[in-house]
Amino acid sequence: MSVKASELPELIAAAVRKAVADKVITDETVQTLLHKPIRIGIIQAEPLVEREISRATPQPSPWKTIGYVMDGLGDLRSPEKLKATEE
Amino acid sequence: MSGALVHGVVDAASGKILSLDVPVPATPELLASTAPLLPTQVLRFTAECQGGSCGHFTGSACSLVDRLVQILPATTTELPRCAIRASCRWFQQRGRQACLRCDQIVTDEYQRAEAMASLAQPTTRSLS
Repeated sequence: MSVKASELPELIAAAVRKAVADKVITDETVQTLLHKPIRIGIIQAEPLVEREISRATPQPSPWKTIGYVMDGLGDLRSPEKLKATEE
Repeated sequence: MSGALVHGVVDAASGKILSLDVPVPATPELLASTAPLLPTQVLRFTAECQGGSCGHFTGSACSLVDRLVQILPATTTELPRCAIRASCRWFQQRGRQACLRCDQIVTDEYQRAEAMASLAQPTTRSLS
């Protein structure tokens, strides 16, 4: 079976759609690679109405701050300090 | 590859190659139109045989068509229409048996079957 050369663009597009349908590539990838602009950056949240703002007012946390988890990890890298602790 | 022509396109429905009535030049625009797929996943190309520069070349013939005829079943019993048969090395070597299997050949398949993967491995020499 032969096809006309003029039908080539349509056939190519159909092959790409099939690949998307087969989930070989996602439609998002198609859109990205077809040079659609990608919006990068911070997306501003919609402003809250006043009622919602009052609800969103942070309440005092019941949890006591005990320091950052990372504190003291530097000691773990010093074998001498670990030994001293064990003793 | 310089002088390459497009002589076929993958049919979305069947995955087989549809032969163009007239080969068209492989222009940059045409190649870009297959994005995000590779051109070799969508189009069939014809170009001058690279002979010894190709891993499939034995020194006097193309070994790829030999494996093609051995491994793949014929997909048709009638000789398909083809715009390049008169200058096709595969047809010169293996005749209609190559043509009856040719529409299965896609240079780069995104879902390559095992038979195709073994077919594509040159056996003459390793490529460095």
